[in-house]
Amino acid sequence: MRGTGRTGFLGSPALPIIAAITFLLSAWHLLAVFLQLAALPIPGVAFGTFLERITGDLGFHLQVSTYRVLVSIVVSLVLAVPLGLFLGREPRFDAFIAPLIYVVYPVPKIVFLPVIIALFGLGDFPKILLIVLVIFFQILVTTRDAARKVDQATIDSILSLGASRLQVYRQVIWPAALPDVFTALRIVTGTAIAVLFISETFVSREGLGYFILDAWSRSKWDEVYAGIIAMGMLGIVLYGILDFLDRRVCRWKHL
Amino acid sequence: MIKVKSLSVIYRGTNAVVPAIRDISFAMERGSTCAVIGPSGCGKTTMLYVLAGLRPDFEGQVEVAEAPVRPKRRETALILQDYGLLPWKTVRQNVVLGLELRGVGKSERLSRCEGIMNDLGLLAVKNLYPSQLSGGQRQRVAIARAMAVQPDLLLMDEPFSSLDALTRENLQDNLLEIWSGRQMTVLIVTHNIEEAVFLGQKIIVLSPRPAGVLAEVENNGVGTPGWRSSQEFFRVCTRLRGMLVKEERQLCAARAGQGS
Ligand SMILES: Nc1ncnc2c1ncn2[C@@H]1O[C@H](COP(=O)(O)OP(=O)(O)OP(=O)(O)O)[C@@H](O)[C@H]1O
Ligand SMILES: [Mg+2]
Repeated sequence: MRGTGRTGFLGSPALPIIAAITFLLSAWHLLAVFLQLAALPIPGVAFGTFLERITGDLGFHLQVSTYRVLVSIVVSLVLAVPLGLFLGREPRFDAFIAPLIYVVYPVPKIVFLPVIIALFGLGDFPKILLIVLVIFFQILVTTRDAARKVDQATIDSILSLGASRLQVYRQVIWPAALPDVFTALRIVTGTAIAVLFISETFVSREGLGYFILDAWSRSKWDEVYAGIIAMGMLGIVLYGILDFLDRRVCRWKHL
Repeated sequence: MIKVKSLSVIYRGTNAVVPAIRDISFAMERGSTCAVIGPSGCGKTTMLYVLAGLRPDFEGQVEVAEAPVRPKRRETALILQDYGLLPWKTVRQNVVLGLELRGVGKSERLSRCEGIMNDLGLLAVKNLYPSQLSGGQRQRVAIARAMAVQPDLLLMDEPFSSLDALTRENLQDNLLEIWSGRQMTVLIVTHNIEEAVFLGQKIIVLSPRPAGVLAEVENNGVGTPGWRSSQEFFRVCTRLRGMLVKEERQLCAARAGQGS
């Protein structure tokens, strides 16, 4: 599939994606017609409500959620990637930090939600903090391991060309780790949206999580699905953007 | 240009101490070529690392250009066994890398590399990535990258070993052309007898690990027209082969002796 055919939306082949969407919507429709449940409206109704509300309150909540996810990802990236590259290449520091990561990494950070809310209230900050807590370690560990396995001969050969320590990081370690950073980002995006949803359903008045929970409490199923569609779109668009950046930045990987 | 006196290198790992080089001495004139030949694993790459200043942990004296060897000597270029090209850079970006690291401006480094890329037939592939090149082309890129910084000392580790015979001879010719056009000292590590005799004005034969100098062969025909098909060329090859075979036999005998 690579390199062949035309690429459409955000660098991905458009036709298979349209086909996939059509398939999923048809399956949904058939299931809804077959089951006849209030909790499962047909896609036409759900999308109707989505289109109606997206220009109003749903659009606002989508904006809030997008902002929170994006800031969390960028902040985690800025913190975790340089540290990961450094730890991967400086075993002396890693020996010190690795046990710490080993202990903290598997602890489910989401359980700190009540504590974080108690400390920082209900604004954007506690939600961003929680997401960062979760995904920072995932990016850190992936980046560190990627930096560790960089081929020593490659480093030696640019040292022999007169590279400084910093230039080795810029010219070798960072680009070598980049594909793995993108892999981490793909995984982390899904996690970030999931964590966001949970934190927004927890005493909150803004964001898609709140919108969905609120609709649910009023048993407005078409609205619940409109919120789900918005959240799904958030995920798909973020993936698309990552794909697009990956193809541009890691061009040598996609020949 | 190079003066090595009683060089010894020992790898001290966590669970093993490997003596890689024991008491090597040799010297090279400025502007000459030298081929180092020896069995696999005997310490040739290690020696190049020392000469390139990448391995400061050694015993003995090593001088490059009348000064003790030091890391980041800018006029030393090293081409490693697997070429060390950066996969995320195009041919042209790889070639200009040395100049980029030295802070040479963008347009200047491009213009300074045109010539060498042309000499090595790389202009047609300048926008491709290393993974899109043949082995021979990759090796050319590595040579161009080394030449771009205008070194006075070129160290090469088995540069042509993975190439087919014709490509290999072609590149050997290229290398000699480049060498004769500049004031450059070339030290090349190789497994290949013909290559050593074709390129090395001096041929150093190393013993199995820990490497020591088994013999030094003067080979002054290098660079003369028709050298590759001359009587003398074959004579030196035969002589060298004799030495290596004898060495191999002794090694086998020693191993058999150990085994019984
Ligand atoms: N980092 C290291 N730690 C421990 N031992 C090493 C290390 N690098 C090399 N050696 C050992 O030192 C010896 C010499 O290695 P070197 O790479 O210099 O050999 P070589 O002559 O270049 O071999 P080849 O012809 O296969 O490339 C080998 O026996 C190898 O196992
Ligand atoms: Mg070697």
